[in-house]
Order: sequence, then C-alpha cells, then structure tokens
Amino acid sequence: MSLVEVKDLVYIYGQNTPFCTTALDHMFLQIEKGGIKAVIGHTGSGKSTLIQHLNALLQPTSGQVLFDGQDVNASKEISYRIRFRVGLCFQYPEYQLFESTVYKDIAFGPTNMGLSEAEIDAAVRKAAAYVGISPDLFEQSPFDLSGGQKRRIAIAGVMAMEPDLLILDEPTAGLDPRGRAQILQMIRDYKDKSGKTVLLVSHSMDDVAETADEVIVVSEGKIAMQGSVRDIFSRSEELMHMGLTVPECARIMNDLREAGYCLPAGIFTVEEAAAALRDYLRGGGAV
Amino acid sequence: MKADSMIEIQNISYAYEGEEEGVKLAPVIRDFSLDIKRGEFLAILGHNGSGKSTLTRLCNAMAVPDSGKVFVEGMDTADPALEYDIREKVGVVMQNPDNQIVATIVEEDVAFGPENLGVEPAEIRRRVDDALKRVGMYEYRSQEPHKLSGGQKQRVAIAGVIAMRTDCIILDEPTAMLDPQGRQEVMKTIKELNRDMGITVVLITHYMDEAVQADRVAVMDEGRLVLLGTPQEVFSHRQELYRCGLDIPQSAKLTDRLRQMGIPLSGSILTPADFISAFRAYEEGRR
Repeated sequence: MSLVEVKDLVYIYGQNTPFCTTALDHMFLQIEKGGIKAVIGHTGSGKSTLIQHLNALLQPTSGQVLFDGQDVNASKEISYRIRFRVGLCFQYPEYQLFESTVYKDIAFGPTNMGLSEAEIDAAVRKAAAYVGISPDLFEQSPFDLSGGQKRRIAIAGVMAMEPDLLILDEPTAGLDPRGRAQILQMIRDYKDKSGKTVLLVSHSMDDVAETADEVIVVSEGKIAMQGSVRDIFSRSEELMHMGLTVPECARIMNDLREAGYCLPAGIFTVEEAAAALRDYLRGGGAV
Repeated sequence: MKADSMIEIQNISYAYEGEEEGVKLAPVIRDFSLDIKRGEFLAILGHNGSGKSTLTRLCNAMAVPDSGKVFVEGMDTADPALEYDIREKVGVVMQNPDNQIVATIVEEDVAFGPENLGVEPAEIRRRVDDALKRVGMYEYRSQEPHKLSGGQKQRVAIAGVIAMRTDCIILDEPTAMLDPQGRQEVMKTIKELNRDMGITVVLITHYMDEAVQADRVAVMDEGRLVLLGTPQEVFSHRQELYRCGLDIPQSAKLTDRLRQMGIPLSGSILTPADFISAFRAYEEGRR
C-alpha cells in the first residue's frame, strides 16, 4: 500500500464567487514509504494546496486523499489525528514560534499528542539533536536566537512528533549557503535515523539535487512528472516550459550533449559531471 | 566628493540599541568603507547576520552611522534636512513582495511613491506608465497585486522605485522567495535598468549565480568588507569565501574538480557558458 494516495483530487478556491480558481485539477498521485521526495513547481502550480490536503488542513472540493489507506477526511477525529502522522512545516516557520522557551516550543506538538512527561522529554531531546540545538539553549527564549537557530527550532517542533510523513515547505528559503547546507544535512540525518518519509517542497533545484531520491513535478494543478532525480533532470526542456530549471551542472551536461558531445544523460552533480567529462576525454574525445 | 560616486561609505560603524535605553549591542558594521560608483551593478554577498541589511538602511538614511560618514551623491545621511532628498535618490526593494505592496491596483501601487513626493498628476501618469513598461508589467496595470506571481510582484515593487526617478536601487535578496522563472524575470529586469537607464544597482543576494552577473562583488563578514572586485577576482578567493560561509557557482566547482583530476581548463570560469567554451577549447587543443 502506498503511504499517500491522492485520487482524482479537485480543489477550487472561492467556489461560487467571481474569484473562483481551480488549484488542483483532477490530480492523481501515489507516494511510497521511505526516502526524501521533492515536490517542485512554479508559484501557483498547486503544490502548496496539495500539501495542505495531505494533513487535512484543506478539504477537497471532490476526490480523496488516503494516508496509509485511510481517508484523511473520513471524520473530524481522523482529520485531527492525521496531523500527528503528517507533520507540516510551513515556509519561514520561525515566524510561528510563540512559546517562552525553546524547550516549550519544541514540546508543543508532543504535548498535544497526549504523551507522558517522560515521553515528551525524550521527544524534545531527540528532535533537538536532529537539528543540532544544544540542551544548553532549552531555557532560552527562542526570540533571542539567530534566524538560522529559530528556523531549526521550528523544524524540531514538527520533528518531535516523529510524523510518518514530514513535509517541509521551502526549508532553506532566505538562508546563506552554510545555513542551507546545515538544513539539508539535518533533513538527510532525520530521514536516515528515523526511517520516516520526507517531502521537501523547494524552488531550489540544487536542494533537490543534493537531497531527494525522487521528484514530483506539479504543473497546472496536476502531476506533470514523477520519477528519479536523474530522470527528471534529464528533461530540462520540459521543465523550462513549466517555469522550472535544472541545476547548473545538469545544464552544462545537457548543453554539451546538444552540442554533439557523446556524454551520458541524467547527470546533475559536480562529482558525476567531473567523472563523466574525464572519461570522455580519456576515451579520446570522439564526437 | 568623487565625481563618479553614487554612495560613498567612509569608515562607518554601527550598533543597534539593546533593550536598556542608551546601551548599544555589539556593532554589526565595523569600520566599513566602500565607494559605490554611479551606474555600476554591485552585488553584495555575506552570510545571514553579516550586516548586509543594516548596510542597506545606512545607505538611504533609515539609519545613521555611529561613526564615519555616508554620502549619497554628496549628501550627508546624518543631516535630517536631507532625509527625503536622499530617499528620492536611493530606493529599496525588499525580500518579501507581500510586505511592500500598499495599493489594491498595480498602477496605484506604482504611483504611491511619486504621489508622496508631490509630483503633478500628469507627470505621475507618465512615470507610472513608463516604469511599468520598463519592468514588463504594463499590461497588468489594472490588475490586483495579490493575483500576481512573486516575480511579477517584485517587478511591480521595482517599478514603484523607478517611478520615483531614483538614481540607485538597492535590492535586499529580492529573489529569495521566488521560483526559478520569477528569479530569472527579476534578474533580467535589474540588468536592463542598469544597462538601459544607467541606474546604479546594488543587489544583496545569497545566490552565487546572481552575483557573477554583476560588475563588481563585495563580500561582507561580521560587519567588515573582506573582498571587493570583479566576480572573476572575488570568486578566485575560494578559501576566503568558504570561511565566510559562502559558496562558489557550480560551474566553478566543476572546473576545480576537473583541474584536480589533471584537466587544466584555462581562464576564469563562473558560468555554464564560460565552462562550455573552456571545455571546447581544451578538447580542441588536444586533438
């Protein structure tokens, strides 16, 4: 059984008003358990609307969302419970911190889950470790910390529930290269240690190239492509048409191939590109 | 004042006030000097918290240095009588497009600045039309801003600044929240303003591929200027950039990797186009 199954999902904003817009247009999607999946698509493609359906924040206009085989909108109780299993971390989550201490902020989710004191404490410590926040900071106000720390604390708050599906919407937006690398490393660690599934929504093709196993491309309220990172990044023409792009290395390799160089398809990292170009030159450089 | 200076920053230091009145926090700008030349396209890089946004505030008299001087076209930013004249010369576009749109119709938003300057209605009409055409948003003039994409909103914000006939635009991470297409649209617009209208552009960014498009790049670290030069010069200081928590473009990384493998591509390589021509030259030279 798929972890998530989206069946013929339609969502219309402002239905029966002059502003009505179809955000999801008969969408079908299956997400298997495990690994990091990236969701890409231009602004307005429907990806934010999609992720808000996965934990029942939005109710479909028509169609269904199944999580572990169960309709997430089957009852109020189920929709409430699903939020502990599908953790959603919004863009710029640091603006949603509100507690007086770092500890309380991270503990908010597990507390709502009805865990015991001891379980909450264990969950908070584990989540803080995932994001590299030292227990020395637990009693500080989150508002006294740096932007990067605040963001990591906000993400820890969702990780503390150890959701089966962790959804991160643009977790690296606005961060400098080092902050970005830290967040991506943290996401990979979480996946490895918890064994849970991660859904990463991103505008950064470099983030996708560095972390994801699979890519889901959303365009005009539908799933336009779904496949391995390698498959998706070798289709740069189609991605460009959807207002997207490929990482710089993939662009170089695709352009060289188009110029007649006999190079393998689907290369998107610096290491792989360097190796392929070295092999090409060793092979005598036959065009 | 130097004849070709747009903004002269002379040995400035700046610290924010702490919670206690009159007590300053650690300085965020330290003995910083930089001469921003009229008509240039300058990119500023630095990690989060390195002082880039504070520098923006100091350049249009939103903040005044604790020591040292900032002159905008020769006008001292510390002189309260010149505050409005300075803001007419230097416009600022911020990261979040939703925080800087004030009106409910695109053209009214663009008219907001010149209206506040007391410009004649007929002249406002001319300026608004001209500014919207410059950024490629004229056909959207009677739309509601909230219906635009992020890239379109940023272009409207840029139009609002150029309608004030500013000589210099400072853009503080204008593409951080945009999808790939939005980023390209904004970069294209910025380069056109600089090239066709001679507007001085200061672009603060975390994207190395944007910085390489500038005439000069300045790198800030802990409130100090640590590197300044052409993109070729600045990006040749790999170790210093990494130490500052920054990165180099992927094309440059790929070049480094090949050079380590004993494939000495020649020249300074910062973009895919640079890489492809250097690779072809190397490959042809071996035949």
